[in-house]
Amino acid sequence: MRGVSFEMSLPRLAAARIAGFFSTSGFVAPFGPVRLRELPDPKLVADDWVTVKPVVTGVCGSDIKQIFLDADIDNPLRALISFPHVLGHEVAARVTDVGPSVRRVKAGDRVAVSPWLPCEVRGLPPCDRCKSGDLSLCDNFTRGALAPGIHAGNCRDVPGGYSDRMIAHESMCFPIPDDVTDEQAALSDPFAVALHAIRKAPPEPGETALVYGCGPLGLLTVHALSRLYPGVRVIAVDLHPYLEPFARDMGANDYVMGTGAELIEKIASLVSARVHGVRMALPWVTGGVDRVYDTVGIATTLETAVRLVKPLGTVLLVGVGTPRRYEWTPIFFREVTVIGSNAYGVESFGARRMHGFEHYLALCAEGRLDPTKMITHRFALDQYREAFVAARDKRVSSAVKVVFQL
Amino acid sequence: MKALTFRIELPRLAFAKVFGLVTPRAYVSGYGAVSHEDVAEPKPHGDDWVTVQPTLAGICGSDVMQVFLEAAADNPLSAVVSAPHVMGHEIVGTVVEVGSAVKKLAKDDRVAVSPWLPCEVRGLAPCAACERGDYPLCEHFFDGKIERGMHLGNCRDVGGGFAETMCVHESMLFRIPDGVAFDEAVLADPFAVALHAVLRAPPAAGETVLVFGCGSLGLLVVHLIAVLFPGVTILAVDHKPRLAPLLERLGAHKLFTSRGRELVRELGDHLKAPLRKPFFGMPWLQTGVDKIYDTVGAPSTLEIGVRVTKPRATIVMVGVAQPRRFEWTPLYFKEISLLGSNAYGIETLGGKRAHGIALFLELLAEERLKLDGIVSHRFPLEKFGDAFMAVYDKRRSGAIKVLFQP
Repeated sequence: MRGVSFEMSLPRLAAARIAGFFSTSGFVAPFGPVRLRELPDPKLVADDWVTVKPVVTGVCGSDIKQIFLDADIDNPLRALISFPHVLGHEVAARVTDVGPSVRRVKAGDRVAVSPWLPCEVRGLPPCDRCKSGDLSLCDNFTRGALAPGIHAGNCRDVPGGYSDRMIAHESMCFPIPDDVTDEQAALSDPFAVALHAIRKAPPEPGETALVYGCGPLGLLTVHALSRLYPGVRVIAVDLHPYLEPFARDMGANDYVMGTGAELIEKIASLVSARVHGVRMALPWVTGGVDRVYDTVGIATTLETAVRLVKPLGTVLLVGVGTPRRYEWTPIFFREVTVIGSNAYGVESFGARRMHGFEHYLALCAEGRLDPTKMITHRFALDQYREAFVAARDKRVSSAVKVVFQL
Repeated sequence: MKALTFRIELPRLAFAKVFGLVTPRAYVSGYGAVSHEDVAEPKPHGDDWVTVQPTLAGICGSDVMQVFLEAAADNPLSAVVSAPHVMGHEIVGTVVEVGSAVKKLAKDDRVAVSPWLPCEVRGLAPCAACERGDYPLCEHFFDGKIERGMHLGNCRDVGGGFAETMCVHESMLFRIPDGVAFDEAVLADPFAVALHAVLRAPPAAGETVLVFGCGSLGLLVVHLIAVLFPGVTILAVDHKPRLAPLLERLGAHKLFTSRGRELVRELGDHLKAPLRKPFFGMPWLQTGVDKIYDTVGAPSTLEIGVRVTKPRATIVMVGVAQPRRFEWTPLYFKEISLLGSNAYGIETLGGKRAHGIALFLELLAEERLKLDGIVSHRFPLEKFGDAFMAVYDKRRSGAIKVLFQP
C-alpha cells in the first residue's frame, strides 16, 4: 500500500523545523517527518475486521497542526498515540475484503469510516464509557489488540485514510445511503464533532449563538445550528472576507470579521450589549450572546468568548488550539461555564439514539443537510504537499475544506 | 475618622513597585498604595441607609492581591472599581444610627454586612440579574447615585470596614442572631462565597471531591460539604502539613501536600487510576475525582485539576489568581466543565431560598458549624503592615484568617 506517514524521528523533526522556517512547504519536504511511502499491506487484526479502499479523505485541522509541528511539547495526548502512523481520519471508502465473521458490511459496500479505536475495536470487553456510547472517552486507548492510539491516523497499527488501503473493525463502518455522495460522507467525522458539541449545550429558540471560526468545523457548526435548531440567530466570526459567502451559504444570519476590542464592539452592537472601555485591556460588556461555540479554541478566541457571552452563559470549547495565557477573569466574574467537547459517540438527537455518523448520513439522505459546498480543494495522493500547504496557508489558497480524491 | 485607604496614584504605585523589589514590606509601609490616614466621616446616601461601627473586618485574599499590586495590567475588573477607597469587605459590627426610612434595623443591632453594591443600593430598579438574586452579576455597577464599584471596599463612595465607621444601604445588613458571636459571624462573606461555589455544582452522596487550597475559603468549602452534603469523600490539597489536624476536624478525609507531578501520582495511587505518561510534560489520569472546588484558581491548580478528574467532571473555579498559560488539553479531551463562581446572592439550599449570609447566620444559630481554628490573627488598624505581611507570608506567620479590630 501507499500512504502519507508521520515518523517521530528527531533528525526529521529538526530538519522540518529548519526548512519550515524558510517556507511553509519546508515542513513537508521529503527529509521531514511527513512522507508518501510504500508500506507493507496491513493485515486484518481479527475475523471481524475489513479492508477498505479510501475514496475521499478530508484533511482535518488537527492533522495540519501535527504536520506543521504546532503542538506543544507538553501535550498530554502523546501518552495515547503511537508512531509511525499513516495520517487521515475523515474517510469515505469502499469495502474491498471482509473477515469471516463480519456481519455489518460486505465487499463493494460504500462506507463512512469512524476512526475511533475504543474497547470493541481493540477486542476488549466494553469499559463503562464505551457501554454508555461515549467512545471518545474510552479508558482503554493504550490496551488490547492494537498499539496505543485514539483513532486511525494516530495509531501505528491502523493506517489512516491518506492512503490507498485501510483496515477497520466492522463497528467502524457506516454504510452510506444511496443518495448520499462520497464527498458528503467524508464530512461525517467533522459534522459529528460539531453536532456533539452543540448537543452539550443546545441553544433555545430565540437565543443568539456565536460560532467562532469559519473553518470546516465552524461552518459545519453554523450549518447544524441553522438547519437543525430553528429560531436561533447564528453569528459567524472569522478573519477573512472570502469566508463570508461560505458562512452565509451554510446558514449564518451574520458574518463578522475582526479580533479583540474591535470584534467585541461589533458583536455588542449586533446584540445591543453595553460596552465599557478598560484601560490597557479588552473592553467589558454588559449583556452579550447566549452561547459561544469556539471551533478555534486558542487563547485569543477564548479571551474574547468569555467577554462576549452573557453572565451564566456557556462557551463550548471544540477547537484544539495550542494552550497559551489569556485573561480569564470573566469566567469567574460573569460565572461563565466553559465546556470541553471531544469528538462523538452514540448520541441522542431528535427522537433517535444512534452513532453521530448515522445521524449525519440520515439527515443528508433526508435532504436536511448538505455542507459539500465547503469543499474547495481536491488533490490526488501524490499531491499531498500541495494539499497540506493549501490547508495551512488559507490566506493564499482561500481554501475551506481540502480533500484527497483517492 | 481613621481608615485604611487605597489610592491609585503614580508616586505611591512607583514607590511600592521600586522598593517592593527590595522588601515586600514596602507595599505596606504607608507610602505605597495603602495607608492608614484621617478621612472624612462617611455619609448616608439616602434615608434608607444605616451607619455601622465595624467590630471585626477580615482580610480577603483579593485585598492582599490589591495591596501587593498583583493584579495583571489587563484585568477587566478595573472597570468596576473606583479610587481612592476605604478597603475591607468582610465585616461585622454594630448599628449606631439608622435613616428615617429604615425598617428592618435599629440602633445597637449586631449585623453582618454584604458588601455588594447592586441596583437596589444604587437607587435603581432591579436589572434582570438582581431580580433573580444574582447580585454579583448586576448590570449596573457603573450607574446610579454612587460611584462605580462592585462592592464596598473598592468603591469611592461607599467605604469599607477597615475604618471606624461606615454607611451602607439597609439591604446590605443581616442581623446576627443572639448567641452567635462576632468571632464566628465575621466569616459570613467567605462562607457565603464557599456556599455559592459548592451550590454551582453540588456533590452527590458517594462522590469524591477535591478542594484545591486550604485558606479560609478552602477550609469553609471542606466544612460545609462535610456538614451539608453527607456521604461525600473530601480530599484537600495544600502545601502546609500543619493544616492536617484542622482539616480533619472540619471534615476532610485526606490532605495532599505535594505539588506538580508528585501530586498527580499520589492522587492516581489513592484513586487507583492508572497514570498516563506523555513523553514530556505532566502525567495525567483518564479517570479521577468527580468534582473539584478550586479556591486558588491558579494556572498550576487548573493544570493539575484537568488531569485528575473523571471524564465529564466539573471544576468550580472560585479563586482569583493571575491568569497564565497552562496545558489545558484534558479539558476538551475529557469533556470537563469549568464553571466560574463569583461571590453569592440569593441561594437555594435544601429547598429554601435565602441570601447566602442569612443562611450562614441560621446555620450558626443552629450550632451546625464548628469554625474554631480558622481565625488565626487579629490586629488593630494601625498595625496594618504586620497584618498584611502575616497574610502575605502565611508559611512564616501560620496565618489562616487575619482580622482587623477597627
